[in-house]
Amino acid sequence: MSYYKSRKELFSYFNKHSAEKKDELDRHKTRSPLLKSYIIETSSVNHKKNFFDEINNHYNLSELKGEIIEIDDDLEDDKPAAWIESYNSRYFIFYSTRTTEIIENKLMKVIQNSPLLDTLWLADSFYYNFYNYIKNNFNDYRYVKLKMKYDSELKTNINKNFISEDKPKELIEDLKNIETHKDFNLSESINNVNKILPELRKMKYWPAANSISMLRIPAKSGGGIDLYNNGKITNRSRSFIDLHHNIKFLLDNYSYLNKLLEEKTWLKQEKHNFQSSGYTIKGSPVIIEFEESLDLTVFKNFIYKIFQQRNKNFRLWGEPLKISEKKYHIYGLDLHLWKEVFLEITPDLFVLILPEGVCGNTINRFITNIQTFLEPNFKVYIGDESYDKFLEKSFLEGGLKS
Amino acid sequence: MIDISLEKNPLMQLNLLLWMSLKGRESWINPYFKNKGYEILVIEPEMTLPPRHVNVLNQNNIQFIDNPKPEVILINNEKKNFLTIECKNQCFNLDDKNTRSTKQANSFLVYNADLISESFGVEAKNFCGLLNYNFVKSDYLAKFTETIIEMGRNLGLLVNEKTNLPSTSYFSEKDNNLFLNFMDPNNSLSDIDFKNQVKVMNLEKDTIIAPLYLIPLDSSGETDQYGEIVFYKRLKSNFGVFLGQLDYSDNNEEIILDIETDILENVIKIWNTWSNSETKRFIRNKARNYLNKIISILAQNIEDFNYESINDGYSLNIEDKSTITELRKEFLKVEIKREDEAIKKHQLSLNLNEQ
Repeated sequence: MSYYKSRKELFSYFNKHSAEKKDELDRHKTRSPLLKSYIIETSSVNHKKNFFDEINNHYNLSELKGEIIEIDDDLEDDKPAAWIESYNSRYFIFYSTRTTEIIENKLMKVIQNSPLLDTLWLADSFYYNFYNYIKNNFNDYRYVKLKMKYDSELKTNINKNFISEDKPKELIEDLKNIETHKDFNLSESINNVNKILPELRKMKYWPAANSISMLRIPAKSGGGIDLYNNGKITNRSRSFIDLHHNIKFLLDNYSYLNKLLEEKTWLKQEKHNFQSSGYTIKGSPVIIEFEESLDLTVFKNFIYKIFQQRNKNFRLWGEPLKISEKKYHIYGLDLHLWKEVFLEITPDLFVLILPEGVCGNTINRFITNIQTFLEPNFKVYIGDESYDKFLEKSFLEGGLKS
Repeated sequence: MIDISLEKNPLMQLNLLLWMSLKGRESWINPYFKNKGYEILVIEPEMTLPPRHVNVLNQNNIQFIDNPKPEVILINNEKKNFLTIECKNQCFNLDDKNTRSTKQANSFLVYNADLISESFGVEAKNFCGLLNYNFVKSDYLAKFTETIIEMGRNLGLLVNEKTNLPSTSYFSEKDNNLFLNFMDPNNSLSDIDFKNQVKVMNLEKDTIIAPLYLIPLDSSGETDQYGEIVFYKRLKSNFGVFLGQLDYSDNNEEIILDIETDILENVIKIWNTWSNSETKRFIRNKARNYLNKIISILAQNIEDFNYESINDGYSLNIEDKSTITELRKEFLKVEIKREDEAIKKHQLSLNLNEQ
């Protein structure tokens, strides 16, 4: 038996809940958790059934009228754990009014351990484009909030074996000067952010400046909607409709972006139609050019953390082949969908090759994590076209696609 | 360190030329051909000579090969030409009419733009055919180039149609860079505007020149030391791809891992169309020996997992959902010690030449 009978009943609850919480937020006294949503991606092949089979391994499912799936796990009595709305057969939206710790810890583990599931990965440049949309569509006096986050885990947590011979002492001194964790909140009117943000982004020496990881989108009903870089969205607005509209807008753009990325990057080997022998190859490499070369020690440590220690954010597996001191090749797997990926990495360039079928999300995940944990000052190219162009196109055309 | 060099390596030449024909950035591998308007039309095609050409060549006592197979044909729709590229280790003597290489050159020369467009169903009116011999050594190239231009001219008179315009090129290393150099003594290719020397990529000190290999084995099954390692690495990855796709709902059925369809067809895209059954059997056996190691380690480490070797591969006995999760987890930890050792000692033997 489901808690709510229909989509209509559920949405009405979400609307009432949102208005109540907004009043509480205004009084600075929130009594219970805000409404939040998490977006989960599967694959470009229709996997709706497999998706619900997978969820069914961890939660009890029941269906509401209007194609909403209610999920529960006997952890709390009063309300179900979450509700799932299908955006399409590739993206699914979880809504929950439980505390973040309870819903998120379990859900993130389920996602990370499943070959089928992944979260969204919003890179700094995605946020920058999203901000441009806000700038063009809201009054200047509205407030936005941006959170910049950089965590130098891969730069500072260096395995001693990798300290380079040339200048180990200086290097250790250098590393001491890097703060391990930096974040910074900018909460200002659009008018002011328009002036501050471009200046801030010129501060290349301060990595957080080019690593946006959260954006509070102003809501039409008042308040805002917090969009995190793993696709978590918290509703701080008065209305559920605002949240819903923004999720749809985000997914229209994001799914369009992934479609574009997959069309361009997928390395397809196709047999030629006319002859029994002979074949052709199409597709483009993804090339990440760092503005400054990575320190050799940091570079080696990166390889160690990603492939030997298998850093769980990157979700990559492979056995690096040493081509030279400064060049490694990896013929490995992307552990979302368990498809092959090939990489060439040097302190100046990372090259990512995606054979057909790999999720375009692999690119977003790779970039977002490099920006947050390694180095945010780089440019990304899909073949010869910049990743930013793809984003601009998504924001221009993605929202209009349906 | 893997021992691989420019000295003897058409597979590396092919992989480099492919990257140079796909979109990319000069900061990595110069997409020179792509930037000049070329696209890959077909890789390792068989170009069967039509009866009329066979007849004319036979009547004039010119030796040829029925179905020569160049490395790649590129097409340029803007400049209206096809570029047929044949990679060779080193320059050869065209004076001896009985060698395979000379016979092959005759066939490449007469297989002109009209024949290519006909063979591959490309609308290509008034296209011009270019032929490029790519070498890794520049010795004797001037003489070779002059001779092949002369051969082309004579063949054109005999078959009474345009033959492909020949040119030569070679890779070279200088000042920590890899270059591609073009030779065109008679300036016959002025319209295609290839620079004399093009920087292909940076080479660090003590580096292996190999780019990422899209093709680890060529269509006759031959490879080099680097390609061989890539082949084994990709066997392993594709075992992972198989595990990643195991479906929970399949639990009650017998699960078969077919070495050819589940693994080899992914690593060698044209596996199905290969006709050399000896080579295929050899490669299949190599793959099986290697996969045996992976699967036996998994069976040792996972209590509820058994398998049986069958003709096509393995029959897996998987008790429940958790075994699949366990298999995936354990797979990521599998280390094939022998493989790593063998790489160090250059002992992986997939060299089909020495079969």
